[in-house]
Amino acid sequence: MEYLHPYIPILMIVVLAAAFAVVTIIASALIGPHRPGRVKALPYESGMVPFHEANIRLPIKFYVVALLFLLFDVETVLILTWAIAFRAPGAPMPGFQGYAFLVMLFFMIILVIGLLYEWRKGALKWT
Amino acid sequence: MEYMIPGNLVVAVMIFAIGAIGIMWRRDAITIFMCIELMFNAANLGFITLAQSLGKPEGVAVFLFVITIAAAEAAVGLALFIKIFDDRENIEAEKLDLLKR
Amino acid sequence: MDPKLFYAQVVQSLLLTSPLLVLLGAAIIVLAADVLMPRGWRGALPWISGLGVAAALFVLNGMGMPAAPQHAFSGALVLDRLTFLADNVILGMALYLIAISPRWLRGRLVPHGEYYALLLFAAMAMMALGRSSELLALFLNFELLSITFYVLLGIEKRNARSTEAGFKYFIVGSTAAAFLLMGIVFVYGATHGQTRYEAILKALFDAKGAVQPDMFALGMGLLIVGFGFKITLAPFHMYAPDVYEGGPTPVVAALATGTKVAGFTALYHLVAMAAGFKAIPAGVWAAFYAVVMTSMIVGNVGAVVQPNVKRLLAYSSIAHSGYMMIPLVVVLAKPGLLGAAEDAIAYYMLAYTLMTLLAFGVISALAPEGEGPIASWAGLGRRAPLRAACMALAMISLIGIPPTVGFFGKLYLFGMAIEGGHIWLAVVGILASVVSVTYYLRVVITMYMAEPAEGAEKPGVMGDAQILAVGLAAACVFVFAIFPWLYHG
Repeated sequence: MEYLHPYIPILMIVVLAAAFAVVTIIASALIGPHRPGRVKALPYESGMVPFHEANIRLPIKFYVVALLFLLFDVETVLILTWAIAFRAPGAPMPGFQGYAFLVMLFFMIILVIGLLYEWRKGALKWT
Repeated sequence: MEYMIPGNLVVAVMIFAIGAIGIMWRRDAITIFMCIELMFNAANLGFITLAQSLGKPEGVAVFLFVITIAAAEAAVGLALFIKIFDDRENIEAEKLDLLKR
Repeated sequence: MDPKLFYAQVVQSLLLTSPLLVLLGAAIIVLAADVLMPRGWRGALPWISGLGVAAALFVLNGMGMPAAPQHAFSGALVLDRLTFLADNVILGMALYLIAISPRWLRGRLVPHGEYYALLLFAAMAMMALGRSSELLALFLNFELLSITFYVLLGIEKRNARSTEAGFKYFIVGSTAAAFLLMGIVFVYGATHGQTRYEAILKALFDAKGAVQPDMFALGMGLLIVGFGFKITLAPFHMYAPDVYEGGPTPVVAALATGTKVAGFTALYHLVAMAAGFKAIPAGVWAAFYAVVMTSMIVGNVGAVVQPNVKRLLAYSSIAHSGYMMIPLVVVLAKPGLLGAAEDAIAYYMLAYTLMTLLAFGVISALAPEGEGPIASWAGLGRRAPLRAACMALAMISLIGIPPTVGFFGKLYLFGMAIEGGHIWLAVVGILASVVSVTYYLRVVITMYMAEPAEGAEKPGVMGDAQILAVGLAAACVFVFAIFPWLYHG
């Protein structure tokens, strides 16, 4: 049953999505009315009037927050998969869950120490 | 013994090669860094492919570790990038020549 | 499996890794002390870290040298003779660096708590990397060590050279990690999903020949490329001079010595796993050979023209990596020599660490003047006789003149080459050592013969801990040369 290969539907979605995007853009360019004005040429800011260059340097605080978020966010990947595997069948022996729990506890303690450290260092303060 | 090489492994090797070439040819540090991430992800793809074709589901778990490590690395690396950008207003790898004689 | 037995194994694993756990605890205590103590008490940080390392040394040697390899965490880490010796060298290095750091840090904008904590983390990562006996653990420990060093090299925030060194090491280190990971993928695939060294070894020499040899060789090649970046082997060495010159001196000392000790221990385990595997294509073997040759030649020839002592030591480290690779090349074809190779590597890692630490200790004691061009070392023989004598000793030992550790180390290595039938490796090694005389002696001659520049002052006095550390290292250069059994029994 070659034509039922699992990737075929994905390929179809990709083609459809691309076709839809291309068709909409071309169609709107062809059929839509064209009345350009100054206000229309402004960048779209959800209704706000833009008042300065968009290309500015942001305060470093944003970066620090993004970094801390990234780290803790990625740790979640490990914790979630651990949680799924925790009750999954096929554990090598009866007492294995206790071991798995202790390992994760160790990991969490390290994480909490990291959190406390950055809190005391003042990395979480915005001002 | 005949050994089938899974097709995805070839893709992984190609992605890895693209990353390696990019590191050598690109000048912008961010692009270089993206190429490195590309190489990591090529290895991830290879791992998952092999784990599946060998029927070893635990091999799939490796990519979780790799992603976590890559995130930690990105955090440290981007901090260095920002520090260097602060000092000289660009992060082109070739213009970092304080240490060349 | 019986739960009781399993938990007994877990406890056993924790005991085996207890030196690492002690270091981890010490690092966390240092970080906590840094944020909780009043600012005036920062002088206590090196003492806390020093105590932590001493405790780890105590725990490690309390276990004693293991007679047979002992595995921890279902084969992820191993403690055998070589890792035991490497751990001792690494912990000794950490103590030395903690002793020389306070003086070097004075007047520099470096966060002290993070600095000492990261030094401890780095020592822990080195021990873990050397002990790795499973491919995933190898990758994780490799990255742990790399990430620690990205931060440590760039820790002097206001110094553009330091951040540049960190940046360059970051690019190179992550590329190396990517190569390593791809190598792991191929080895994993070639051995049908094995990651533990023991299992791979079993699969390799299984009569049924289930291993795909070309894929395995490709994987091992990529692994060695990854390690080549880490231990500065020749085609992958380009970053080393810049990083060594720009990085903070004690950190560079750790990078030059500890990373190499850990890297060679890990590489030895990898090579021991594959040694004697007949199906490795000849091309791989030739590449291995070429890497060793080029490392020795590039390192020694490149060092001749270096204007700066730290850059010179970078090239010297490339050359010494080349020497240290000799036993690994030999055992790849002759697994019967594994024991001798282990001895030679174990001894040379101690020798290299001692003399290089001695040199970097003197440089940091002369900072910031000593970190400049070699010309600024003129007349040090009179201006700072003790430091000049120690530097001269380090240089003489790096050349390999008896009775220093450098001489006996090289004797073992080149002896290995001849024993294994690789006369050319020994010949190139000895010729390269002859070239090395020129640049090592240039430093000595500048210190003792050249007139100091107008207005050159006496360098600042050394701290007590610094004198003790540098003096001990200098003494050890002789002690371990004359009584090598003190080290590996």
